[in-house]
Amino acid sequence: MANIGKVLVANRGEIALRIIRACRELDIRTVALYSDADRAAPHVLAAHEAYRLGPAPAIDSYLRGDLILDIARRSSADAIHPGYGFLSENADFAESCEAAGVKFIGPGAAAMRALGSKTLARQAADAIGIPRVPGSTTGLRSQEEALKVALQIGYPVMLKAAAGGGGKGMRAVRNADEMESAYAGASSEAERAFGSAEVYLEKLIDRPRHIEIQILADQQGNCIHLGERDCSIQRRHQKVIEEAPSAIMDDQTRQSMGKAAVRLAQSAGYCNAGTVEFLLERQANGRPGNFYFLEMNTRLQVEHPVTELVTGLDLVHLQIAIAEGKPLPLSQQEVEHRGHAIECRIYAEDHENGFMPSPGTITRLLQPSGPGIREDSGIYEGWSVPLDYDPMLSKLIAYAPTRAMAIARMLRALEEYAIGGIRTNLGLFARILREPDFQAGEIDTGYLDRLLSQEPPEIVRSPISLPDKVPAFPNLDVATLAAGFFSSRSRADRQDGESHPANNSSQWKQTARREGLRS
Amino acid sequence: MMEPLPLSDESSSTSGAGTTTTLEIEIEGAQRLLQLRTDLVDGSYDVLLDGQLIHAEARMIRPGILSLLVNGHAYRCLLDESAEETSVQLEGRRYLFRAEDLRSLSTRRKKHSPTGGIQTIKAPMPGRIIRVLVGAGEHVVAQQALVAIEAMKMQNELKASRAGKVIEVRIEAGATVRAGETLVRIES
Repeated sequence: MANIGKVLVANRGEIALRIIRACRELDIRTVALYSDADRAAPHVLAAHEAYRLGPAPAIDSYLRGDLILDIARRSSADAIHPGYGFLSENADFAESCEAAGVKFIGPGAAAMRALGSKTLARQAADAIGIPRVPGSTTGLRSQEEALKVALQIGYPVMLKAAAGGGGKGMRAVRNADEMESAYAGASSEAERAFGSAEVYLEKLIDRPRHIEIQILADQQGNCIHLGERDCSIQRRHQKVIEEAPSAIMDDQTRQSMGKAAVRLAQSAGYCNAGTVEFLLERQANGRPGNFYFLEMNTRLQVEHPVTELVTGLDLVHLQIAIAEGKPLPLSQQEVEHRGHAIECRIYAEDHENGFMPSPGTITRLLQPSGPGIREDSGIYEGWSVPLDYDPMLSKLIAYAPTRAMAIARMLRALEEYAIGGIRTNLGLFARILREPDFQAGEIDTGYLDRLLSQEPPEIVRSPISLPDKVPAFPNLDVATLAAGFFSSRSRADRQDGESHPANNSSQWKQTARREGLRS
Repeated sequence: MMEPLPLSDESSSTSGAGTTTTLEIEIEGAQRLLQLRTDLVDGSYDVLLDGQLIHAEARMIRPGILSLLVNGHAYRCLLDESAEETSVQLEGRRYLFRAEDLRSLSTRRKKHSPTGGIQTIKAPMPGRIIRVLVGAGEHVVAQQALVAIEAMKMQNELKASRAGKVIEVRIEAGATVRAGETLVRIES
C-alpha cells in the first residue's frame, strides 16, 4: 500500500477541475495537461503543474497515451486519473500505465476488457444469470443474421454499436422492411464513431427508464453499491438531466438491482468505481417492473455528483484511496441515502435552433449559488469555449430533502444563472422542470424527445400565487428599456473612445503646460 | 408624474443637468421608439417608450450587466453580444434587438431592402468545413445543401434559401472558419 503523492489528470474541462479539487483536498500534488486550445482553461489554472500535450484535435493531444505517459514520467507522477471520455475506458492505456509503474486510477485492464465491451459484458451477465434485454449476445455477422434474430425475439428491436456509447450507432427497427437501411446506417455510424462496424440487436422495451447503479470495489475484494441514478431524461440517447434517487424506485428493486451490479463487478474481479446501467420497466400500477442489464461503464461518470450528494461520499476521494490499496471505508449496511439530488448538463448549444453547437467567447457569466447548489463547471467569464471538444460547459446540481424541493431549488438556481456571448441550453431545463409529467416523476427515455416535438409554452415562469398590487410592465417593454440603456451607454463609450486618443496624446503637453505655469 | 418629454428632432441634446437620447429600437421584430432623459444627479431616467412615460432607475453593475428598477419591480438584464447579433437576456429569455440613432435611420432602411439578388451563406458558428458540395457556376435549387460544417463533434449542413447560380465559393474542405464568415455567394 503506497500513498499517492502526485496525480496526473489526463483530461480537460469540468472533470479535470473536479479531480484536481479532490486531490488538493487530499494534499496530493496535481499535474494538468493541455492542448493548444486549452492553455487558459480552468483546469490548467487550478493545477500545481501543467504541461503542453499538442495541437487542439483530441487525437493529437488528449488521446496521445504515449505523450501522457512521458509527461507522467518527467513530472514523476505516481498515478493517472483519466476522468471520463478520452482514454478512460482504453484498456491498452491502463495496461501501459501499470507497465510504466504509474497507477491507473480505475479498473485493471483485464476487468475493463471483460466488462467495458458491450458484447463481452452481456456474456458475463448471462453467465451469472443477470436478466438482460432479449437479443444477440455476440456481434451480428450480417443483415440476414439480424433479420433472423429479430424474428426470434419479435419486433420492435434496436440495433446498437458493439463498441460504442453516447447514442451513436443506434437504430430502432419496427419491422423487417426497415432492417436493411437501419443495419447499414447503424454499422456505418458505428464504424465512423468507434472504428468498428460491429452491431448487435436487442428487443425494444416500451417507455423504459434508464436506471444505473454506482458501484465501488476495492483491491481486497469488497464491493458495494451506492444506489441508483435515474438518467431517463435523454435527448437522442444522450443524458440531459440525472437524479438520485429515482422517483419510481422502491427499496426491494433497489436492493436487487444493486446486488446484480455488485455480482457482475465481482465476477470479473473489477476494482475501483464503476456504473452498471439497466433499463427498468414500469408496471401498470406504477410500481417498478422487470429490469434488464444494458452495459457497464468502467469509469467515473459525468453524473456522479448526484450520488455524492445523496450518500455524502466523495467518489474521487474513494477512487484514490482504492488505487492506493486501502479497503473501502464502509460496508453495504453503512451506505445511507438522504434527500434528493438533480443534475442539469449545461451545454454550449442552441436548443431553440436545432441544438446547433455554439462555441465562442463567454462574454458575461453570472453563476448561481446559495443553499443546496453545487456547480461543477469548467468555464469563466472571458473563456473561449473551443470547438474541438464536446460542448459541455458545466453541471449544475441541486440538493434538497425532497424531490419537489430539489426541483424548486434547481429552478431558482437556473433563474440566477446567465451566460452571455454564446448560446446555451439553460432555457431548456426550466421548461422540463416545470412540465407536469416531469414533476410527477412520469418519465422514460423517450420523454424528452416527445416534449421537444411539441411547441414550447409561451411562458416558462412559475405563476406567482398572489396578484401584484403594483403591476409590472410586460417583459418585452423592460427588455426594450434595457436595450436602450445598453445602446446609449455603448454609444457614449464609443464617443469617449474616439475623443480620448487625441486627449491622451496631448495630456503630457497639458501637464507640462500646467507645470510650466506653476513654476 | 412628470411632464412627457417632447420628441426632439435631434437624436441627442444636452440641456441643463440631463441628456436626452432618442433611439429607434427594433426588438423581436417590432419597431419601438425610445427617448431617454438622464438625470445625472441620482442615476435615474425618465423614459418615453412609444409615447408612454416610464420612470426607471438604472445601474450598470459591471459592463453588460444592468440592474433596472421600474415601478419598484427589480430586473437583472444581461447584454448578450456575439459576432452575429445583440440581445438582452431577461428572466431566462433572450430578446434580439438592433438600436439606431434616429438620424441614421434613413440610411439603414436603404441598406436593408431585401430584394437584392445575392444570397450570402455565412458560417453560423465557428467550425471546420467538412465538405463543399457545390462549385462556382453551378445552379442550385432551394434547400439544396451547399456546405457541411463541423463544430463540437456535430455536423451541420448549410442550405440555399432559394434557387440560383453559385457565383463564388470562398472556402475549401478542411478550412477553419469564424462565425459570420462568408462561405458561398449565390445569385438568384
